[in-house]
Amino acid sequence: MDEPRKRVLIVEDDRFLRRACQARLEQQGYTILTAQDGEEAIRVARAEIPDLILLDLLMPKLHGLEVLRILRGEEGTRAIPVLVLSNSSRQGDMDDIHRLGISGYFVKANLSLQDLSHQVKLVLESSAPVGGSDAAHPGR
Amino acid sequence: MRVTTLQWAVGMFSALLGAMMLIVPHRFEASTYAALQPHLLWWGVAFLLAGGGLLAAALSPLGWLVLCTHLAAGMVLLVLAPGFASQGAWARATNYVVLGLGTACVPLIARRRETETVESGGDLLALLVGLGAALTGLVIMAMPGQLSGRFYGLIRPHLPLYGGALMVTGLALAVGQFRPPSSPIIKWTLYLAVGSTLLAFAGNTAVAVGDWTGIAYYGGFGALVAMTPWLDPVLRHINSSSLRIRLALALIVAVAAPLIAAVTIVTDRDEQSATGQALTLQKTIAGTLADDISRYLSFHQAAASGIAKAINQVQMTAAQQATLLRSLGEEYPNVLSFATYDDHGHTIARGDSSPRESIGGSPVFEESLRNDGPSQAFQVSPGGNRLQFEFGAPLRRPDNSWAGVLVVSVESVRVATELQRVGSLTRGKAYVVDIEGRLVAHQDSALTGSFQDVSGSPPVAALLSGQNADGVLRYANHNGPQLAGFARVAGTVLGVVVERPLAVALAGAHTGREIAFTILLLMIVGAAVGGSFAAGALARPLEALAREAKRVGEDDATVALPESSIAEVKDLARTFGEMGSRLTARTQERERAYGALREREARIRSIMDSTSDGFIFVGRDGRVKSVNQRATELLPSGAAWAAGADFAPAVADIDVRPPEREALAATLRSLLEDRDPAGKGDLEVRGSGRVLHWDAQSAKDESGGTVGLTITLHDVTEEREVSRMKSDFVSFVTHQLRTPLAGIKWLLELAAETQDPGELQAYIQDARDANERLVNLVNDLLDISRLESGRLAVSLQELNLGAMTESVLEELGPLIKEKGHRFSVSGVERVPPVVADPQLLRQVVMNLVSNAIKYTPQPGEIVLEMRRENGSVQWAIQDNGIGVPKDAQPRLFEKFYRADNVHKIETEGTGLGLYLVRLIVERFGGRIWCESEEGKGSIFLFTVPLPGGKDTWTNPASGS
Repeated sequence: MDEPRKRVLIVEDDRFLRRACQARLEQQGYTILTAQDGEEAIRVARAEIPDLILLDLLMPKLHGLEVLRILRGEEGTRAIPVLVLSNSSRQGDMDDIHRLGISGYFVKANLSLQDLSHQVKLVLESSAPVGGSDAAHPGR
Repeated sequence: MRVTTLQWAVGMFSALLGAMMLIVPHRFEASTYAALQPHLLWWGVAFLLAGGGLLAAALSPLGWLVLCTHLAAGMVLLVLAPGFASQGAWARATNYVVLGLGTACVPLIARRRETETVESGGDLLALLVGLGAALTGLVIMAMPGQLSGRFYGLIRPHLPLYGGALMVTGLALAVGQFRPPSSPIIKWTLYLAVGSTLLAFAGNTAVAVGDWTGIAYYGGFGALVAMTPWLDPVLRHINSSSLRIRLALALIVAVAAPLIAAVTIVTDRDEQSATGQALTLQKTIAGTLADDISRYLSFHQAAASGIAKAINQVQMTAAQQATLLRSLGEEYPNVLSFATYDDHGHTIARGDSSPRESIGGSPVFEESLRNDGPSQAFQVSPGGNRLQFEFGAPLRRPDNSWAGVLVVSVESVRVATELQRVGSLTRGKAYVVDIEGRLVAHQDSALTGSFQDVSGSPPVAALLSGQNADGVLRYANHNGPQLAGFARVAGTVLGVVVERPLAVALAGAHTGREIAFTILLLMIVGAAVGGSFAAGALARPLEALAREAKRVGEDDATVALPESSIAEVKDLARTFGEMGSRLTARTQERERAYGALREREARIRSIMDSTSDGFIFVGRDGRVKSVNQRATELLPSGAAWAAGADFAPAVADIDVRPPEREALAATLRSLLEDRDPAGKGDLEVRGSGRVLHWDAQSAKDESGGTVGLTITLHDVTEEREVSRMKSDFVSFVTHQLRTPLAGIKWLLELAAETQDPGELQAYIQDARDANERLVNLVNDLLDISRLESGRLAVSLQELNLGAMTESVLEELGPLIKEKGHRFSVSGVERVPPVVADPQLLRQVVMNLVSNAIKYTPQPGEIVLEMRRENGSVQWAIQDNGIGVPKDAQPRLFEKFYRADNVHKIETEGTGLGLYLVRLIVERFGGRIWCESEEGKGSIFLFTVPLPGGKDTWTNPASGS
């Protein structure tokens, strides 16, 4: 492609999942950044401002929800689209997360890599402004 | 001040005085009562009414009654005073004045009903009597000369003594009423002193002279004052509405009134007729005496005339006359003298040997001369008080001219005798007076012939002035009323008077009156006592019934009924007994019912209090009707949960989130607004951190109407916790299972798509690893689940920890070598066998060794030690790895817990490993713990108890 490669930050503590996801998305031609826990995720997001974050929820050190909250609260990272990949289907988590504004919520075990890469493509190509009731800015 | 005693004393005194005035008015004939005399009857009634009224006021103190009666009694007492004062009885006068004024002033002083106790305040009666006594004493001391009457006769020599005693005691008592002495003994002494002084005074004055009113006053008040300290409480307790008092009073009045009336009226008439009879008697006696005297005189006159005629007829010579007269003299020795005198008064002849020569100038001669006829004269015998009569009959010459007079001189014994007889018969005075009212003869011979001028005496005056030959007169002199009967002696200038005091004449009637009065007093006492007794026959059963009624009320089962012979009382007692039994039965029944009710209440309360749920019942009015202890513990509220308090404020005050509070408040509102209230919800009490589930239902009565709201509170903290934990667990497990599954899925997907055989191998290997992890996880979860629920099937065998450890080490050999750790093991031989499940225990050893290997990043030292310790085998592994942070140490063996520092090593742990190890060790009765310092390393130790009763196993190698 002619445009610069999209950068995707994968935040996932399980190495198998991380590796698999990375492999697939690199095949798609994206630049992949990784983080193994919440703190690392914030650090990298602030520093790199990726075009998309794939966010796991259940992580050591910092829960994915907290990560999202922090990112949404900061100027630089507020608008980064986030796809949540979680294995938790707790209703409470999902409500909270949706309020913070995400581009999608998927249960990994029910998602094939094919579908995943498709979703990533959609988000990156639409470049839609971040939705959700807790978005800091009305428009961009 | 107390006025009860005064009212009783003065009331009785006045009534007594009134009764006396009516029944024995003759006692009021002294000049001290002169003012009352004309209308003694009405005064008597006045005193009686005043006294009776005062007694009525004492019993029922109505304002107007007190006022009127006190004024009336005071006035009648004051009326008595002047009479006494005028006669010089100053003592009595002052007493009456003091008493009268004091009594009259009571309504002004004591305006309200007495409420003072016996100890407080003084007694008005004591004050007045004391004052009166003191003044009497003063009078006696100051002017003894004034006390001249007969009254003070006996005590005259001791006047100063009496005076002093009265003054001192009276003053002391009077003063004592204003400053009552605190000691009862002193008080009683004061009263007794005055009382006894007065009584002594009374005894020696009034009693001695028979002055009834004096006795009544001094004796009566003296005795009363002496007994006042004892009487006052008695009088105070006389309840005018009590049956005894009423009956006694009624009988007293019923007895006294007719008696007084009868005696007054009847005796009065009797007296009048007796007076008339007495007067008639006296007149008759006087007449008879007059006739007697008259006949006596006539007889002697006739005799003289006869003798003179005899002399005249034969014109006797002097010698003949002398012979005649002498023979007459001898024949009638009782005659003083027969004598004849010529017309000059010279003696012609005499029958006696008296030397009398002439009677010229003597009344008998002059009168005969004057009248030319017979004459009479009398004179007092010389030397004696006897009456001498001279009867003159004229001597005549043949030409019938007056020639002188024959005088027969007689000493009258008869008249004197008759007068004495009459006098003693009538117990009065009988006397004879002449035409000028001079006393000629008197029953008292000392007065005979005294010619004392008694013309001023009313009967004499009446006799002299009256036209009639006889008559009666009733008059009064300083000795009292007198009755007199008088008659003229016919044919003379003389008159006979028979007089006597009315008291003497009516002595019989007066005695009758006094007897009647005594009977009255006795009957009053008898009526009082009898009435009281008669009333007792009625009052006692009634009082007994009243007592029984009280006892029935006090729950006493037995009722003792009073006996009585009165039919109505018997009936009442019987009916009362029935009522009592019914009441008792009903009370017992009610007690039983209450007891059952209380029991039930207690049971309900104990149920309510024993339940672990809170319970609140709110009534229709929004008030808490009942609340159990648990509710107040579960849901503390600033406004306390008190029964009867309003529910709403308490709800407003509970420390929960507003939406939760609102839910409860809304249910309360629907109760108050009469919509069918029901609801439930959760309350997270912030203070205690408990979660309560409340459930409200409406409580209905039989007709289906809502009577209130029943709220149950159930502590669901643990349940919620558990369910949260469960859902936490579920989501954890879901995540932990899904993660490797997703990993496998993606890896296989990649494997399927890749063309590169190297990549293919890598992907497949990773998938296999992930699969392995998943399998282990599932096994662990199953083990944990079974261990937790106690359903794990363990096969117990004797096994050797040392051998097992070595086997594990062998299995992990490659890993150890890879990591480069140095291992040392000790104690393998020394360890006795334990009884446990080999598979499970192997897991423990495996887990701990793997951890030691894993968490020591660079090549390190790992030391394994086994030994026997206190009845169990202790197995320990020490590494010098990353160690365990202090705050993580207590929680290390918890489910899902991973210490913070393990993420350096591995991010994928489940936190189940050590938990499972702990479950297994504890399943076999052992203990597991950790000692560590972060960064330096850790020691993990666990124990397995040796089978009990087994002897020590000796290891031949070690020889121990």
